Parts: sequence; structure tokens; C-alpha cells
Amino acid sequence: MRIETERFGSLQIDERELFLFPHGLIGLETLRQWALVPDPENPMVAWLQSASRGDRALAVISPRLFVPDYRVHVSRRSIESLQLRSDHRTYVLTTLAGTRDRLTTNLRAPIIMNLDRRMGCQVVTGDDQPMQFELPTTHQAASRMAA
Amino acid sequence: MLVLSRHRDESIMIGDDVVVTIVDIRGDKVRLGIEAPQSIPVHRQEVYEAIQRENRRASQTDPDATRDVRPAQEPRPPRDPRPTRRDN
Repeated sequence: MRIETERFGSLQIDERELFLFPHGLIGLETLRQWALVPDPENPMVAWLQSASRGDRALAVISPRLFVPDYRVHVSRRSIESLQLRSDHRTYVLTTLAGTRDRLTTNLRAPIIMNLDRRMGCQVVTGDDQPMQFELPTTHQAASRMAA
Repeated sequence: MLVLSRHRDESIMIGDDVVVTIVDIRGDKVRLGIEAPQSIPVHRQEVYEAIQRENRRASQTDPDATRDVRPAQEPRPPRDPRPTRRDN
């Protein structure tokens, strides 16, 4: 299928590669099918692109690359929709928001994806993780050096 | 808004498959037990609204903004599994 996106132009995506989010994302409950698209410039970043709304895409990272001791504590109930089995591979991703100078990631509401079943859901962690965890960027480092 | 009075351990039913039980009452804090089908997500309202705001912020992020994100520590270079041994 072809998705006409706002950010990446026209994307050709195999429908079998799409992830089904039975509950959508929090606040975006009606958007249930998402593609995971690599960022064209930064290998640390990917985008969850809605299959039905070309103007809806969220940047995501693998939080453990930035917060090595990050653990997701959630109830079994909240991930039931993923149909996880012990031999399934999963991704834990968190959303990015902000500007080039101050970029934050939401550690409170990670997105968990079952790569084998192509299912996804956004969960709320049981512990009090920050919703705006500030990330280091090389841009910040460069402007600090210039100052 | 429908307002109902309940004692501890009493419940209300919403539809035929959601049960909300008053588990405990202490001062101004009430503990609720919620039984609902897995297809109905249950969230604390203020947390739900805050995450909704964060998701909205995330969906407005410009691709340019994510260009410089890097982990603070560079990933360790891969180690040679068979280091050369120096014999002397």
C-alpha cells in the first residue's frame, strides 16, 4: 500500500509490515494501523507513521540506549492485547517531542510492539517515570562548545 | 453526572461487563477495584490527559528536531573475540 505522508512524502509499505494497535495510541485511539519507518538521517530515531493519516507520525527511540537501567513495569492486563509469547521478539520504544535544542522522551508511556504478531500498544508504567526526560543531543554539545 | 452512594466492599456495574468496587476508604482517599474487559483501557484521568498532551506534542515534532539525538555514551566498539596474543 502507498501512504502519502506529510513528513516523508509517498511511502510504499507492505501491508504485512504494519503494526495493529487495537487501542490506538493514547489520545489517538482511532488510529490503529502504524508503520515503523527509519529516520532518513539519524539511525537512533524511527517514526511511527499512521497508515490512515499521512499527517500523523511520532518520532520514537529505543530508550535503553539513553537510559541503560530503564525498565518497564506494567500489569499483565495492559499488555494482553499484544498476544505475547515467551519466544516472541518485542520492541520497547518511547516517543520524542520538542525542538532541536530541547528534546524529551516520554518514559511514563512507552510503546511496546510484538514483532512476530505485528501488534502494538502504548502502556502507562506502574512506577512514576518522567513524561519529559531530557535527551542529550550533539547540537546542544556543539552550542555549548561554541559558547 | 449520576451520583451514587456506596459503602466499602459495595460495587456498581457499568453496562454488563464493568464492575467498580469500593475497596477501601481512608480520609479523602478512596481505593477502587475495577473489573473490565481487556478491550477497555483503564487510566487515571490526569495521567491519561498528560500522556495525551505528550503524544500530541510528539506528533508535532519536526524531523529536523531529531537530527542530533545521540546517546550520551557512544556504543562500545565491538571487541575482537580472539585478541592477538603477544608471545615473548
